[in-house]
Amino acid sequence: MRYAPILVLLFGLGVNSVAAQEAVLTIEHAWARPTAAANAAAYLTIGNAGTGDDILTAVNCAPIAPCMVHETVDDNGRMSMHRLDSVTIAAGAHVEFRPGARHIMLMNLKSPLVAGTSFPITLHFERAGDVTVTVAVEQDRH
Amino acid sequence: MNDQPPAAEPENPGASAAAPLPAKSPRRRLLVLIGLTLFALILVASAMATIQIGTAKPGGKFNLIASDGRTVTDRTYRGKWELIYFGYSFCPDACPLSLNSITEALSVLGPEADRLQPIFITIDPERDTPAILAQFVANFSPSIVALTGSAADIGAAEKAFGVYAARVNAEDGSKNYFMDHSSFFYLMDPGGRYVATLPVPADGTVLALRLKPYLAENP
Repeated sequence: MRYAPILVLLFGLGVNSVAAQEAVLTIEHAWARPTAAANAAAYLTIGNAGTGDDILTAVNCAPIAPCMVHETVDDNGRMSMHRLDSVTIAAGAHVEFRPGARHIMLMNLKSPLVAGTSFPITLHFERAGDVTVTVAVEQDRH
Repeated sequence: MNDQPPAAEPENPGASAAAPLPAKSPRRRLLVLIGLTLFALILVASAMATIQIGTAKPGGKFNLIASDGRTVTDRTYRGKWELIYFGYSFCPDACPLSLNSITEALSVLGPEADRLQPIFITIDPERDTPAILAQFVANFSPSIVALTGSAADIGAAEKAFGVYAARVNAEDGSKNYFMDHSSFFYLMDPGGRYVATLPVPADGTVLALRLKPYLAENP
């Protein structure tokens, strides 16, 4: 019982938290910019307040588009993007997905993202399992 | 000739080991002279090369179409400082970051921002129609002018600014593609002369602070 994953969704606070074994994950400030074209990026911060590492192994944005974990790499002002197969969320760490760096990339959106709307993304962690977060479509507020 | 200090020789033991010529022979002097001449030639050549690189500054003629259908050239905004960025609307991360940076910078600059014309030029004319660009920049400051054009006209603009852009197919096997590309702000003065290439900070306040001293000038 002690190790049973407990899924707590605190939509009102914009914080979703999951306790699974020793990794205790919190996912905060999930947001995406409004778009014109068919590609978009979603950003969030994953915290691990537990004592064990966890690994983000997959993302699913099926209701609106195919998506994957991506990283923008700035090589002396030359930008390129690469797919990341997994992201380790070390115990005690706060892993940021932010503009110009790691992000969840949505491709071939059925319709552009409109400010004020929201959509779900399911994150799959090796230990914590599936965690669904609500991504708010809004302008950058740092 | 013979009163050269003999101490000169041991200063360069490696050279004397490689060249068995006596230190004070005319042949050695000739070799030194040739060496110095070559060295001087290399200096002059490298200086000339530097000057050539220096003259290839970003900027030049362009003739493009704004998102509202107007023709915009390199002369359209003379009298204003121009901040030029090359990107594309299907760009999910880097380009929106840059436009957001400009948007924040303009708001930090306040009335001074009136002296600055931000210009977004697409590197993806195939997909970036004026209509899509209009939608794209609508999410940012209304001051930003977004330009597209024929592949040839965009290519010419990229070349003028020394912009790198290369198509990369999406990993999902769809027709979707991304562009690897240069991500800089090119600052041109009110006379249309190149002034500086600025990196893109995520925080627009940083960009505003970099632009302020330029906007205070009256070239």
